[in-house]
Amino acid sequence: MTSEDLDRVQLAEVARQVLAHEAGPDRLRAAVDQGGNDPDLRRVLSELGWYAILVPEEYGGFSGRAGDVFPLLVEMGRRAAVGPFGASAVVATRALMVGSAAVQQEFLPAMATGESLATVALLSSVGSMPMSSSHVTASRSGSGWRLDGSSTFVPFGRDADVVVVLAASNDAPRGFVLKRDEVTRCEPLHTWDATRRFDTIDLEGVEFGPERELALSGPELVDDLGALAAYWLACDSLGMSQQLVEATSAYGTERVQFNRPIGSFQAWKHYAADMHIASEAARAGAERAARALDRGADVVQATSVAKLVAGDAAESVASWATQLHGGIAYTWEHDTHFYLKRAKLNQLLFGDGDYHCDRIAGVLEG
Amino acid sequence: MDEELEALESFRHEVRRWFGEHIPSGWRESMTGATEDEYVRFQHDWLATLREGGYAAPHWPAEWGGGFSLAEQIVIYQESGRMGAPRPALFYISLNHAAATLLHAANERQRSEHLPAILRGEVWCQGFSEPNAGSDLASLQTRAVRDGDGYVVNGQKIWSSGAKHAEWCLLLARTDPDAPKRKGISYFMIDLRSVGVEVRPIKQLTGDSEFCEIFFDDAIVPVENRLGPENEGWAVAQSTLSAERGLTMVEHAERISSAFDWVLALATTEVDGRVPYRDPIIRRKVGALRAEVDVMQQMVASLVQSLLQHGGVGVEASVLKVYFSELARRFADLGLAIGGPMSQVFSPPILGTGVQSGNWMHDWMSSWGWTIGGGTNEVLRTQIAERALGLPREPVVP
Repeated sequence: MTSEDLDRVQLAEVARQVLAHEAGPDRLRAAVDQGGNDPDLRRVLSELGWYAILVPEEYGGFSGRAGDVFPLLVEMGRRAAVGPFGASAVVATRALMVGSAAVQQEFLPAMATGESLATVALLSSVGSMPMSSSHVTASRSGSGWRLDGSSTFVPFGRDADVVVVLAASNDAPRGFVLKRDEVTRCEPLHTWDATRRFDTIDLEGVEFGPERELALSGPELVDDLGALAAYWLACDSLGMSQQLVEATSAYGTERVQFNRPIGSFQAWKHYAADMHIASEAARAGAERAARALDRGADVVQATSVAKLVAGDAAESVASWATQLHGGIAYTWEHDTHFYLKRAKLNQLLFGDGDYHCDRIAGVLEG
Repeated sequence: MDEELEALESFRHEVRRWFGEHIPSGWRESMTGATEDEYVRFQHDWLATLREGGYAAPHWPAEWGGGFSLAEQIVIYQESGRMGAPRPALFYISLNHAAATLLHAANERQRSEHLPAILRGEVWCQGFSEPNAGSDLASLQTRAVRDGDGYVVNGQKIWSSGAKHAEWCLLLARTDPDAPKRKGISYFMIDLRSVGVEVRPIKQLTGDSEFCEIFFDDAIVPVENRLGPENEGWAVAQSTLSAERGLTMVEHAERISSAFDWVLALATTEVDGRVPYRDPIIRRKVGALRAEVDVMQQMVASLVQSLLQHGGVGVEASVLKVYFSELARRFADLGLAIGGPMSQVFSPPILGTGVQSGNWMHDWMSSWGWTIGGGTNEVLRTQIAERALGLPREPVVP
């Protein structure tokens, strides 16, 4: 284990304690009642400096690497924590690494303090994938650009000050950085998952200067943004799996039927074992993705493997958790349903299993 | 740390070069459909080659002919897997199970008699399971009754891999029928050439006969061939069983990764105007399989971390066994899906390869050996639930 790993182990411990305190079951319910919002949690995470981890030092950050936020993303998944951290501090922040100096100077310092929130608009308004045929189109306008169209499943779009938009231009997908007041309309999406907010944004003739374009374009841009989004959701799903395995095991020990704890029945415990195996596979996949991103090698394959394996694992683990809890899990009062819905959305969002299998197959072809 | 890593990398190059120079060329072809005699001769030759290179028993202590650090052992397993070396399968039980047990529970005389002999090619098998003691191993009924300087053994063992070629057997037998079942078992080394021992091969569903039954009819074991105290054989047996887990998985992870390249080659090669990889469903399945192979490799890497840090492995070895064995089946199944009906035409097995041989139907059939053997996946799921998740044990039926 390297010293870096040790720091990450400590960070994981801090994250676990902070989120157990700041994002426990009561807070989750309160945040859900507020429409998937928890400003206090966001404030605490900003004060801890978590929003600054991936921001370069020159803009007030820690110049961290993707693997540094691994424990934070996992712990947030464990609590089904409500908030824009993954979209803002991970995916959008990484996108701005290929932004112009002007964009970085303007946005990153406030993003590092958590004062300003960023998000990503990766999906077109039709269909969940592929990202590369986004229905936002970019056309040249003077020396700058003009955007038209709409993008959906924008995480915390209504709260964001900065939006990174993936758009189709006549030659290649391109990325742009927009300010909140440049977005024409932002319509809330009423998702079954109530632990997060998603919105649809409309862009009608939005014009801006050339400095807002990201330096990366084409398939490399789609790969880069897709990899970070996949990594974020894989970690989130992993945390959910781990929590559900623990909670379900505890229930199997406490709940008695036929004068025995139900967890002593073989049929029950074999499903629980399968939950653990799936969760361990998800952990292996997500850890590999963190290392690949840190090394900058095998990124597409590793992040797609992570999203595929962890996304599917959380969906099955949440399904088994619901079944093994029995009737209580069918109530709103019990927490499992928050995970069930979040896990299903994670599985389908930013590329479902088939999409990521295809991506892996594409890498193998060379 | 960096110096250590550098030294390890130069060791890796050395090992890779050695295997590159010493793997017999064309061994897969010559072992395809080979006779028993050809197989045994080839295995002895390969062991001799490994022994001369110092790689026959890398996991043994230096004084007995091993002496590699754990990190170096991992490198050796990785490189032999990656380079497609034959597995010294005939000596699997000798080098792993017998050695682990001798090192753990034997006295000096027993060790110096057998460890050097094993390195020279003494073949061992395991006499644990019985027709009525499979998953419930502790209910075994083979009896060993003390008579003067020896024990008289009667009973039947089953699933003894390679017993038809073995000279010695690791034997569990009941020495106290009145004690609770785990407390009345003793552990012996029995010479299979003794009077009253008969080995019968079992024809398996693959048509091969790797496994055997062993019958004991008043066979005599000298007292000095008992391992550990009388009636304390169950504890000794745990050291044998732990040899099945841990490092051998490193080799499996490397071999499955190398074998993945065959699946990919098969999928991307045009046959009769058809490239399977152009079929979006096949393509997706290949992508999904790669994901599982990556996960398997990462899980093994974590297991290795745990070995390096704690010197042992816990229930995660059971997680890995379930995952690997079920992956092995899906792996072969994809080979069959790509191969189509022609994969159902008999082709002879490739001896000494393991569960990813590239003979897809044979690999697929053999995968049940993995999901049933070495603790059925059902027994292991129970173990995972109880040890990893802390679920209550099932009530014991008296």
